[in-house]
Amino acid sequence: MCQAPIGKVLSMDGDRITVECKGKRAGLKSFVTGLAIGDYVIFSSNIAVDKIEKEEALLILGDRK
Amino acid sequence: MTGIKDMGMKDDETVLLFLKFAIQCSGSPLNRTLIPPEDEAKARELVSKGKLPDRGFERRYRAAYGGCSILALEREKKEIDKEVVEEYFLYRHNSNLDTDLAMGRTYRDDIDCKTYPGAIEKIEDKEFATVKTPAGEMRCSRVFVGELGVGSLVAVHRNVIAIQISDDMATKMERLLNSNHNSKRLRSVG
Repeated sequence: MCQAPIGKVLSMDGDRITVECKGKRAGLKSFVTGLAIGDYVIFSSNIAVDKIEKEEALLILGDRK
Repeated sequence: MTGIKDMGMKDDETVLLFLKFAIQCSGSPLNRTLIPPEDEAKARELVSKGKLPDRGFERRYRAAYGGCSILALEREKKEIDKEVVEEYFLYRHNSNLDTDLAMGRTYRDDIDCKTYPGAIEKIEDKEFATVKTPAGEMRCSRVFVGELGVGSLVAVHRNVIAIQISDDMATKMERLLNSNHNSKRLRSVG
């Protein structure tokens, strides 16, 4: 079973965001409304597709280890 | 900016098509929190009968729903329709996976998540068929396409036959699989 990557939002500039994912930075396009720095998003093909709650993100990220 | 949460699905047929592909993703860590196994089993049974689960169930598949929403936006559509779902799962999903693998997407078992074209080689029983795909022979559930026989061309997602496809669709899927530099060269379906 695969798991889409999850990133933590580091910065935002219009519809462009920068996230941290597994220790690397990635620039994404985002269609997700209501995002703030520090939020977690799932993304696919360099596009953020949804916001997820911090607790859920950390649970999933921890589960990967 | 249009939010993807605002994007709905056009009709029940669209939702049904979406679930025939997406329901195989129920066990991913992201989806598992929203889709307990009992809900997945119930939904799978309903979809196999051409019925739908509770309204909005499809939104629990957040990555796939988001992918279809973005494609609908790119196509300047106000809602996700069958053409969008088909294009997403048959032609875009696999390249997205390859891109995401480089960014931290993980496979958690030995079944990869790509959508493959294939031809039914053998009907094993009421539930399973052997399908020849570019990635090799696969034993696949056929509960969503029970009426199809040997020789039918199909799209397979995680060892489940999702839909019947045309020869042109199979050819395009195979071409895209082989054009991605992250994919190993795959054998022909035919």
